[in-house]
Amino acid sequence: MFNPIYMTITREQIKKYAVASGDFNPIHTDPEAAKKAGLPECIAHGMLVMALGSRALSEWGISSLATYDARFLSMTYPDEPLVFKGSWVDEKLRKGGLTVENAAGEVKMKGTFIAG
Amino acid sequence: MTKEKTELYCYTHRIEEKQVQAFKEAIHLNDSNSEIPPTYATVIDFQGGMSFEKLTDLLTFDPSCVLHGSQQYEYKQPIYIGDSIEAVVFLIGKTTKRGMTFAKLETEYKRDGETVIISRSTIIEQKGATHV
Repeated sequence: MFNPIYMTITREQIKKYAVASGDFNPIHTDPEAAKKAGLPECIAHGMLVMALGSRALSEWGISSLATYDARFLSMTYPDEPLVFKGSWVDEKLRKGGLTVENAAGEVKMKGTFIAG
Repeated sequence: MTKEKTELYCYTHRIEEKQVQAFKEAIHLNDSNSEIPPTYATVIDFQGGMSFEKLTDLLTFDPSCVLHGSQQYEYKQPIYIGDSIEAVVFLIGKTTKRGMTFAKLETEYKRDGETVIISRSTIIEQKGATHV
């Protein structure tokens, strides 16, 4: 098990990510659009959570990847404290897994990777 | 249900240092690598021509209720700032279940004709959702 990494995504970071990535799905930045889609407020991009997961992998010393997969299992809201947990599934084969969950243990993203 | 692999769209994008830097800043990644971050292919899509509007238009999805279900990347070769990448997007399948339509996409990213990354994603249209 790698050392868990704690992060919180802010509204400002979501806006910054939208501009940087070019992903302008309005549910991420427009509260009215989020409400119309049935959400209580704007949500973070799944791809932002996945990108932060890749940052966690690099902080765990995994600098090169052969594969990186993610399933987005629940919505990630701004200011939700998140914990990134990772471990090897088979270290010899360089296969590992990571999860992102909130303080209540709700899983936001489940990922797998093979280090290159 | 569609299950045939059909080409949806293709585009070319040159990886610019400024855009890579902005992406790294947005995810608080401090490194000086010229190799691009693992999920940067999403920028190649959105900045290269497959904008959110274009994507929902091609999939005939209502842009007001689109979610990203899953994402997979297979890395064949590292890619760097300055590389020119050609991306070809295929629709692999489209199914509707309980008011939700799932579109499976596969994108091949090539540099000088050689595949460098393969992306597979599931995009969901959740119509009339009161809670997602």
